[in-house]
Amino acid sequence: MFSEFWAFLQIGFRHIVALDAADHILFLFALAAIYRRRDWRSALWVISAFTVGHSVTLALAVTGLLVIPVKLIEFLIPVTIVATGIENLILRERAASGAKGKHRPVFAGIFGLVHGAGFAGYLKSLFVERIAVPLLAFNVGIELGQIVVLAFAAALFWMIDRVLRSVMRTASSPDPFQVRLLGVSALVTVVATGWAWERFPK
Amino acid sequence: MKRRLLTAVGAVAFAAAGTVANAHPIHTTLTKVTIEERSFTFNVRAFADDFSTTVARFAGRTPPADSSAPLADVLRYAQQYFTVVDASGKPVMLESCGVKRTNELYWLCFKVTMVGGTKGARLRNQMLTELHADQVNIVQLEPPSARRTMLFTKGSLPASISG
Repeated sequence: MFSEFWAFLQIGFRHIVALDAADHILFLFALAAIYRRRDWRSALWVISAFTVGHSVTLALAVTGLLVIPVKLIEFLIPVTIVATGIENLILRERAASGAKGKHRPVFAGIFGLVHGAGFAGYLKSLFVERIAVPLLAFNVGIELGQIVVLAFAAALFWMIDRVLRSVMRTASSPDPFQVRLLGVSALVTVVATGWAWERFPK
Repeated sequence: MKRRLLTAVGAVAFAAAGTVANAHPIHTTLTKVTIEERSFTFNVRAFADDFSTTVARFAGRTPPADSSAPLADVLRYAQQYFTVVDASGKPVMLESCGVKRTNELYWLCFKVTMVGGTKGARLRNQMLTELHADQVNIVQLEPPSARRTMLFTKGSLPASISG
């Protein structure tokens, strides 16, 4: 049983940290962009809500209780990234003052439902019996992968903030955090809009 | 400053948006191995579109639109990418015990008989690794004692499948 758990944990982990998992990675970057180191509690809430969301749909879809067209899910995944990027842009001035919005975990949970259905689409075909251990292990692998991606994002944002702070030293310069948040959010929004356009169900 | 930043972000974003538009599927096959005293039975599940494409390319044909795969090509492909060797390292002949196609999946059955017994047998499963660099082939051994799960990725060495 341990070998089965370990195998599926690896598959979940690899699925998230792989370079071609750009849609999931970009979503995590969009979620994390609004936080600074001191906001780790809020970030944890949001990530936990996302985890709960995708665990629910992954379980429902793999067990066959929920059937969602794959094409629709593939389109909705970049839409969640666009929505998160736009929310970051709207909230960026409030975020700079420390307020991140109480509704953010709710959105993350809803968006997690969409991403979970995306993972499930490929797994449910293979698992026609004994799904509890593979499902749990795959989920744990995904969570560990997300933690690695978020740690990388946090380190990257911290470095960008430092560089911007050293460049923008004058009193009239904009807040470096806001500039970084604007840049990252605009980037993910434009990229994800392109994906949503190409994946629009025909 | 803001304008320059936005211009740079825009240029990078438009370049990236055009390059990675595909969804991110999980490239995997699942194989259940039943071990008997002198034989192994392998039941392989593979996604039909990928499997049909790789078998067609292997046979030098254009991948068919209906994801079909002729049995002769399937067997030839399996002999090369799904190989069993005995304790002395000698390849063992793979026989088909059936191919079934459901909507999204191929269900392949292969059997190998080992006159000298299954002890020391090893499996090399490189199916579809030539199609996807991130292909992961899951193999589950079901001996009477305990179930064991192994993963094969591109370049994985043969692994023991003795119960």
